[in-house]
Amino acid sequence: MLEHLTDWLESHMRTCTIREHTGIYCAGCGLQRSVIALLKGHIMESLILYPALIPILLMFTFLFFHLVFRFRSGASILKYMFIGNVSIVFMHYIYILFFQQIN
Amino acid sequence: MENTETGQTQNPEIQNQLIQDRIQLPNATAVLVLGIFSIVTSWCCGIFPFVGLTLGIISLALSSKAQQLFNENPRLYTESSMKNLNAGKVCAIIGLVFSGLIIMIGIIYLMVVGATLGTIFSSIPWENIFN
Repeated sequence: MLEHLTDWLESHMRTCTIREHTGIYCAGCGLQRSVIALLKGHIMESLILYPALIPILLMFTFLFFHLVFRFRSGASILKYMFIGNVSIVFMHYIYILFFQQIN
Repeated sequence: MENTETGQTQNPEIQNQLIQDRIQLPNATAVLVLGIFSIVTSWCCGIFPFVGLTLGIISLALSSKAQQLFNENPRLYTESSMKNLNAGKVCAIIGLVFSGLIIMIGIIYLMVVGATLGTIFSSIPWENIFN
């Protein structure tokens, strides 16, 4: 079932509009490949391709549990997770812009 | 037991009852969810920054309304919903700034490309070509 899903996703990958037109990476480039790698079980590869994916998924699961169970300091934890995720995305973006070219 | 001068009850049982009776701020969870979703939709390709921008703006508008309600009557609402609201507001502002930055970069890129194309187009000697 999961193999079919990853095969389907791999055959339906869509090129980023910004990348197609300008040749510059956008801040979301690598997300699709990262998701596919994660679905295949390659956690390290997914982290290298897009380091913010797993923290974002963690943040969403935490958001869900916070909305259901109403943790005492859940809101501030969510806030700091959000800020951390944004900084991870930003730093990764600067890194791939200047130092690395993923194909 | 009761302090009639200020109109507030000092009885702890009644105070506990009052705290239990507090209701959630309207839209507090919606503000939090929209604020967090605004960042995920903001960085990706093409049309998506606009989605992030709209989500951030909606979240900020809802949060300002709820903040007004809370300021009018702070005793009526629970503290946890206020925390949710504040966190959602911070997330929405960050998402708004991020998607606005990306849209601005896109607009600057389009302007540069347009200026270049315009210069090339106007520098072509059309009269020599057609005559």
